[in-house]
Amino acid sequence: MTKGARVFGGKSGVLPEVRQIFKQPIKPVVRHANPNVGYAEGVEHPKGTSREQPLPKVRTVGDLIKDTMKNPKSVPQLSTLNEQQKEKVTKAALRRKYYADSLHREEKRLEYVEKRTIEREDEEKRIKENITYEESESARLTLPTINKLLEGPLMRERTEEEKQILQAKRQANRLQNELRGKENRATDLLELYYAADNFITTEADLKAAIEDAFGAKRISTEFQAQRTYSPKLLDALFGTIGATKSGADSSSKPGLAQVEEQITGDRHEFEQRVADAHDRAVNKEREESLRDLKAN
Amino acid sequence: MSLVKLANVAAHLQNVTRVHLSRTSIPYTRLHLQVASHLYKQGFITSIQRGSLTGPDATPVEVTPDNISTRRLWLGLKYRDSKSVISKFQLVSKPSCRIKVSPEQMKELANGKSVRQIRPIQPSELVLVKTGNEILELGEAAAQHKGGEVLCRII
Repeated sequence: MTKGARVFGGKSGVLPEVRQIFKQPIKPVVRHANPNVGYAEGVEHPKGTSREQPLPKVRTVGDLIKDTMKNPKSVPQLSTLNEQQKEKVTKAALRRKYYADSLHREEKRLEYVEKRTIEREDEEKRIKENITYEESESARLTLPTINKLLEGPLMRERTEEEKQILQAKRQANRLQNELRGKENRATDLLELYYAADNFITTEADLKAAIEDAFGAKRISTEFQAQRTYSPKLLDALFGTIGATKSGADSSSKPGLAQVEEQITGDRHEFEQRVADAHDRAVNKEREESLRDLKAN
Repeated sequence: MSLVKLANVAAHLQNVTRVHLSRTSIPYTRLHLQVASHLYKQGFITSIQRGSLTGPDATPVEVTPDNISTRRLWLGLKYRDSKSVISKFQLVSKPSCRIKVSPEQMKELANGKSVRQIRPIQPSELVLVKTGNEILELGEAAAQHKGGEVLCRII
């Protein structure tokens, strides 16, 4: 445990903290309600305690003087006293007077400090309210565009019409994707249907397949390669199915597009138009040849 | 407002000035526009232009949700005697340690004193502070008797 000046880090001349003259408040304390302090609604407080924090007991300067300094019950006549007694009585009276004066002076000082604090706060508040900061002339003249940009929103939001268009676009995209998926599924189903022709389901089929693979009728690999090129081309050009997968023996099957044409009647109509065009061309050629013959 | 993005811009500007680029682009946000505006006011950069990822706009382009991702702010960088005017651009308040000061502390800082761990400002140094929603220069904030977060210092 250090002592003396070492308590203050070896510094001498450090004065102790100023003692408060009044240990208790000399006028009623005003405490502003703070919603973050105290017991919440519905929460009970411990027995024997108060729910609200009690305010400190007020002890006015008058009370303090009355309790501390008691006036003598009877004041003796100074003329009847000797010098020593006179001095004692006079000094006691002076002490009482000085004590009362000092308390009153301290009270006045505290009032003054409080008044100054309120004045200073009001002044700061007033200054804050009255401050009108003006931008420099050069900044005002040279930065109109940026200031204008900063005033409003940086980005224009979509209008109702634009939102609707975007929604429609997204819906169209989604539907198109769904349709593509459905078409792919239908094509796959059709492929499976055609492939089912070559499935080995009976014992006879199995024997035939073994014969094809390992028997004398086995087709040479060169011939297979020669034959597979053409069906591949067919698949690519006309959307036929199965030619590339089933090998050289089988012919290609109609694809989804051809089936659709057949169902809707487009294929028939197309064939009719081709036949009509062919007839017209033949007739025209015949007329021309007749005309030439007549001319000769 | 993101301090991380401001830190990215600070590092980017330091990097591009060290390789003597004539202009560079930063993301198009309110914070960056405000910071760029202060840099321009204090003479740290030569120009501010709106533009896209490819370069500044020749004609004004409206900013919409469709093109916001490609919008950029193009800054013209300034050099003197083949040295960049911006020599250092650093954050003061960091995401892990935000430094907010009172109006009185702001005044002290503007007067060249050290406040907390912020070192005194140097001559020709720009300190930006955030008060509410606006970004102010330190002197402006002190004059307006405002407190706030000390964002960055540029020298």
